[in-house]
Amino acid sequence: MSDNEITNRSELLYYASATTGAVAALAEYRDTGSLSPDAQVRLRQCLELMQRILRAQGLVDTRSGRIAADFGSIHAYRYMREALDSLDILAPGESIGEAASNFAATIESVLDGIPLADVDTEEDTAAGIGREDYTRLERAIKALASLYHKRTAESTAASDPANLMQLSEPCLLLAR
Amino acid sequence: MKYLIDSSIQMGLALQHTLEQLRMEEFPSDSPRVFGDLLLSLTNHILDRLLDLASEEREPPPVIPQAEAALLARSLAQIAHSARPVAGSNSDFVPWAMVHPVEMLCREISPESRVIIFPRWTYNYGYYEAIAPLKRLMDGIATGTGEDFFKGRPQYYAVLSFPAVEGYHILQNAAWGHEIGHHADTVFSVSERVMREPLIDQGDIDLEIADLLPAGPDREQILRSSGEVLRLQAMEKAAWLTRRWVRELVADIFSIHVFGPASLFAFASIVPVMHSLDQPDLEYPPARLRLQTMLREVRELEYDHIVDEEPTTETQQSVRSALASELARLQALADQEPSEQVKPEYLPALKASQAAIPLIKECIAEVPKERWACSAGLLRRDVFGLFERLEHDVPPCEVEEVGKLVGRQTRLAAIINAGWLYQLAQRPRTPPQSLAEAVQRRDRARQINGLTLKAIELSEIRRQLGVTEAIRGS
Repeated sequence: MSDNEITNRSELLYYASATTGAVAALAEYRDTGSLSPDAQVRLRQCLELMQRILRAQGLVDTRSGRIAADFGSIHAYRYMREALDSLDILAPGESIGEAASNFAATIESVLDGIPLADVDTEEDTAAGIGREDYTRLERAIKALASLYHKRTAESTAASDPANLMQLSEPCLLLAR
Repeated sequence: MKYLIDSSIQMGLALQHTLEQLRMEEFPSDSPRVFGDLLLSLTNHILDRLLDLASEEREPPPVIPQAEAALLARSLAQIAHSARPVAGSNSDFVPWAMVHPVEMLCREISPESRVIIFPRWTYNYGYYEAIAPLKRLMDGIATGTGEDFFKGRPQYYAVLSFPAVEGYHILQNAAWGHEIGHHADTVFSVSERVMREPLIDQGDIDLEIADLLPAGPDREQILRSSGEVLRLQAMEKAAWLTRRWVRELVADIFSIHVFGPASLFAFASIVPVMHSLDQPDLEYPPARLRLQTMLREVRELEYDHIVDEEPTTETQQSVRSALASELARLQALADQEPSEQVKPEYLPALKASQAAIPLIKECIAEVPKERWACSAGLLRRDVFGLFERLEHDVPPCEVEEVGKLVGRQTRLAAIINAGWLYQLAQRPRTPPQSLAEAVQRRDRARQINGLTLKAIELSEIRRQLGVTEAIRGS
């Protein structure tokens, strides 16, 4: 038997911490226009999470043939879906993967130090990060952080090695 | 929040005290103590962070103190959980002869490997790698400093457990071949490589969903409203199960390389008792699939040919008979028709796991095994001499050689296989007819186990002392 309980909890703690740190980092960037080294690390961890979600989008979208058993990505995708559903901030017709891709682009812009644009016109956005995109990212990361905290608390309370499956009740979480 | 920080600090101090106490205990090797020291330094770091958080003059002020405090508290809980094997692995619970040779074997798999072995009150063997999750944890709570904690420390801690009720049943503990197989998988990343391949057939996922839905007019309605959700759910479950089952199959195949047929015998004596032969569960693929996979590996590595067709001595005849009859019994079990249908929700992952087996074998074939693997050649050379010693109630710690005062050093795998083959040769083919007979058999098995464990201990002592040719004499 391979005991995955410890690994699963560490993973949840890692993303709880990454998303929480990213919320603080984004606030810091909005207020000061710069990022501390710690904030940069947190945002990179968040970017890694978006990339996992993007990988899962590839899996979910592929309608035929075989898929790889990338459980971590599919799991991350489901969390993102849950977080975004609770906010209702997806644009009409926008998929979870497209949203993750947009968030990833915004995070990259923040990491590159591109300033926030004052008004959301096309010209301003070209010169900086659109306010709308930025606010959407902040809200999404906040929702994800809160979700990861909730899951971490549940995981710490659960002692059954199969707790990850118990937490993975997508029907309950997603059917709405 | 102040209450949370205060409670967390108290919890951290309690953990710190316990870990300091633990390091005073006696362990069969240094590894548990060194691992305990790592946990202690992580605890101290988290305590510093909590005290920092409590300080009102902290610079810069924490942006989300409540969340940070909660994360630190949970990290302490995680470290406390990680200390469980250290507490269970002291010399009162686990003898040196069981730990040291396994650690030496794992260090041949990777010089970075360390081992902690502890008994658990569940009837199963277990493995997990303890360092990677701690690194992940520290990356989460201490950005930029996570790596510092692990610099200069061993890269892997293989935490192995065995059923406490079995005690020092060393032959049964050959089931560690499977757990050491998990460790080899961690070191050589076999399952990670296999899992990157497209294994899960989406057609099977759609079939599973179709099977779950009720027939009738509601079906289309459910598919329209929740089809995507159901599909995602089924994919997530299939991916989760496939990852777990592929890992088990990798460890099963590696186990035959670790302890040869002894791993198969140990597996066959417990797994069919604990699990359904044909129904998988959340942890394991069906036991019959595992048995078939291991048997195939035993034959491919030619362990079924360690005795010549025409044995020349009585001992060779006994070994041949014990090996052939046990392999035939297990083959018959493996070839039986399934006794029950696999539940539909397991089918996509089961098919994916079956598809993974050739890939697993390809990856394992590429792994360097010379320094640690058992081989048919080793058993052909050493197992008869060791078996003969057991026939005379002498620990099978070395192979006697004509004209030498001291015998030739052998390897752990050869000793364990000799013990198993001797036990099989002694074991009657029919179940005991009375309690007295059952107890008598158990006592005999204990005696064989005692001799085998003693042999492992003597062999390990000899290896440490370094017996030279001059000492062996002529």
